[in-house]
Amino acid sequence: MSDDSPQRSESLQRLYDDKLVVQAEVRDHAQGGFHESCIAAAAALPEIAAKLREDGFYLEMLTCLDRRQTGEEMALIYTFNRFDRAHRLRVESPIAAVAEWRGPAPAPLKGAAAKKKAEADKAKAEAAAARAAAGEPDPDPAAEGASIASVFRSADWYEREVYDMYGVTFAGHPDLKRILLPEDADFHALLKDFGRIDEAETTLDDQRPS
Amino acid sequence: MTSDLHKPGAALAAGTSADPWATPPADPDGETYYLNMGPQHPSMHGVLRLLLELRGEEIVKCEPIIGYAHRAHEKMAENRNYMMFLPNTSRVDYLSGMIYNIAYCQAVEKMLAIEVPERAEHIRVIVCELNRVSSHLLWFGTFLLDLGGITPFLYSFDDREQILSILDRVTGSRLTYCYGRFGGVTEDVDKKFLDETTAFLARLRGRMAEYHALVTDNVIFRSRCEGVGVIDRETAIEYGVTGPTLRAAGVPYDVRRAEPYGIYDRFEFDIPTASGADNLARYYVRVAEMEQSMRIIEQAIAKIPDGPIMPEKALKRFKPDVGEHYFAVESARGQFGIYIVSDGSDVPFRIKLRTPSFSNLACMPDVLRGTMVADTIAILGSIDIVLPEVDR
Repeated sequence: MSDDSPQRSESLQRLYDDKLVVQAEVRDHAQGGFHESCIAAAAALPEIAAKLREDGFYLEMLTCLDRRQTGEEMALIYTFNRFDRAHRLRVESPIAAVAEWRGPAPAPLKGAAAKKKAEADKAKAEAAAARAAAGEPDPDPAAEGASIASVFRSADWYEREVYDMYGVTFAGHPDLKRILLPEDADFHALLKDFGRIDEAETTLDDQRPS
Repeated sequence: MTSDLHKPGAALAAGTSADPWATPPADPDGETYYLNMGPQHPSMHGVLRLLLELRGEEIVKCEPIIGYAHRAHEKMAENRNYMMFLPNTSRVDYLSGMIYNIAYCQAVEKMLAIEVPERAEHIRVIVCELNRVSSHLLWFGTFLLDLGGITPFLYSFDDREQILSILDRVTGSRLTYCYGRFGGVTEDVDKKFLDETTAFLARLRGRMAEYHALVTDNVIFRSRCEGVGVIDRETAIEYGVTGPTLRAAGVPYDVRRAEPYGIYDRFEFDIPTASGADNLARYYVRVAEMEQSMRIIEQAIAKIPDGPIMPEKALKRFKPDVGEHYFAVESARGQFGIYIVSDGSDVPFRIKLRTPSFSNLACMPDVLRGTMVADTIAILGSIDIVLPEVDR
């Protein structure tokens, strides 16, 4: 990764120098709402959170993305922010698929779209290879998250919500149990292959009086 | 008795550490007992259940149990296109629904780089701030009701009803507004709306003086509030507490200032803070905030230009580029964040709603430890939670 401008914040630079994060980049806040972004291995999160806490950050949000349909890993998305000035730092952490994908395969791309996708995939793979060659490989997807509830107690509920909705577990969580769904639920509701509308038994049209 | 009250479901099978309720505490004198407060309880502001471990009147341990009003808004978002999700947004927090509705529009506008006409921007500020005042008025009434004073409730609901009527005339709904559209608002406001709003502000100014006379220096009110339910700066950082609850701890954090959105950078207003971090401080902050909102509305009414309320080219079906966006606004209860991930289709890949009450409520086990049961009601009332917003 090149150290070109714009300048990273001290907090992110410190995380980068300590080899806790990779792909530490400055983002355009006016564009996507994030000031900075980086990727970290799940196991490094408690240390990252502790350092950010020292710097005056709080945990703003934690959520998860399920990208299994396209064969990618899942990811935890943490955002940290500050009260004294806006500084939204996004930390992404890859997580291995919690279950096998049982939904439909992604719709095959045709023509220009397929070409564009292939080019993007190739560029992505090359960038990852370049980072690995420079001694900064992307973190492998972890089997489970590492709880940061001992650093930010707000993470307690956020991690329970991610567990509830996605089935991702967090090592070291004080009491990981469901939070929003019924405690005897046997599903994780926000996984993309759960509750798809094309699988619904009845549609609104069926319920309409004929 | 303990473990049956709250059966820990599948999570324990995941091999994590112990359920805090699994081992009954040492109770040599038999004084410890458990109380389920809610979910059906008039002062739980919806359907919150607090599992309390008590010794006499004192709370030893408290666990909030939520999810009774979970309506799967985030799952619904992944099953319909961006436009179809619009009516959901104001149902997330039905007391400041306008702010949520407009926030979602602004988030999508940011993704698509849509310009909003000036007149629409001003209308949005006016209706959002009116909505904030109505939400605070409801809090004012119900908070005092929680403390046992019935009269302020009658006053504040009278005032709030005026706002609902004003908004009803222009939006067609009293609470769950769907007034925003990507690029503007659905209906233009007329002169009558602006006149009614101006008249209402004048009326509310007079009423605020009455509120202060009736409540602020009331001895009983003060003794229920002073020094009760301290949520200080450290607790706020620990739990991500935002909004009036945070500002009552002396932190001047307001998204309208920290990350100005819409046209909020053009208005003069103060961010009221207080230093006590207790119930009384939160009361002061909210009452002062209503006055700041009135200031903003007056400026917006003075400046509102003529012109269109939607861009010339109306948006129908659209596919945002692949990417992710975080958009934050200041709702009546704190920072409301919308995290949208697009995979390039017309259906959102993921919409995460970061609702303020979720974090504000999470600190309750810490705040309530060592307090009295009667104070629980006062503290919960003072942080102004809305359970459907916690549960989404």
